[in-house]
Amino acid sequence: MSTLMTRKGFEKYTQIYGSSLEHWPDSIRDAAGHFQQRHPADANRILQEERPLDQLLTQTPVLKASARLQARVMSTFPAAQHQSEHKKFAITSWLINGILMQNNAIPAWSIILTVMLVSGFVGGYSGYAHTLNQTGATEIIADAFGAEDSAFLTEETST
Amino acid sequence: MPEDTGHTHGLSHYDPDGDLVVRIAQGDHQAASELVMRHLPKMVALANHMLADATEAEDIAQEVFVKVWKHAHKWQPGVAKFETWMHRVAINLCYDRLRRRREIYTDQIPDREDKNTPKTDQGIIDAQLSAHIEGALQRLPPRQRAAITLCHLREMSNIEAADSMQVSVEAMESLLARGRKGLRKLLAGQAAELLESEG
Repeated sequence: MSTLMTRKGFEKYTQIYGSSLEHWPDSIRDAAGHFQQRHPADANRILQEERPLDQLLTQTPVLKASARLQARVMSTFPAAQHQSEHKKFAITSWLINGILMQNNAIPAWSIILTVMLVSGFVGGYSGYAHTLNQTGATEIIADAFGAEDSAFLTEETST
Repeated sequence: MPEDTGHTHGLSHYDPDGDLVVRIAQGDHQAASELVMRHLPKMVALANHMLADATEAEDIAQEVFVKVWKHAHKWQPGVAKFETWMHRVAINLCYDRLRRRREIYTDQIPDREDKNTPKTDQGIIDAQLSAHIEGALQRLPPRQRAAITLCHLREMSNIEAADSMQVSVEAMESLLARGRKGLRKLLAGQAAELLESEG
């Protein structure tokens, strides 16, 4: 059911929503239509006054999205990263489920996997530390690329 | 979260982008591509109406999508339409740019003359008119410009536009009325010519 719209109300909404009743909100369009039927001369004069601005607004230039921009935007989509994070999470939860959720019984395969993972980490870390301590690798690399009298440069110039 | 304006009862619960957003959160490249095809033109056009600078408008559009990729997994369907949220992000990014600009420049209106203006007489007249209209739009305060852009140029409903701008429908109507009044004043000459040409 629509309430009656006054001339003042019709004028006010025309100045807000413009001269085309199709663009007015649903909630007031019926009332506006009734006003137009009851007072066609008034309504048309009010709409007519507002029409040039609406026509001018249709001439506002619209920037198009280029194919180059589309490609640029798509290049920011981190699909691979999301998927790998999802997979990592899936493996972790599979292991946790295997160890903790199996009716108090810890299956052999999950213990084996856990031991393999832990020993891999520990072994890898200790091996890395051992290598550096044994040879002073950091210093050797720094010498080779940083100092002018390093072995690397000497070898290069002597050949 | 959107401010509760008490006027969002007209929003439909169906979100045409809802499915795409779920797939994007799972890393679906095809869904991302569909969302870009659907909304990139709107984001670029909106940002350009707000900033009158094509390069900056493209940057804003890209930033909006980067935020989409980042926040898609947090999206809660039914709270607001995803497109409304995208518009809100774009508008806020535009406000930031305008604020930064104000700190750098004074009150300069960017030169909007199109370098690719058509060479025919009518083409030149049309291009000049377009530049004049866009110039007038740029003279409006940013919030009035945003309201005019969303309701009259993007043809959003008043409720969606108000939601995008995080204001009540009444505040949106006030911005629209003041914006249109400003434009009428700035474009009075062009409007009179238009009426004359129509006889």
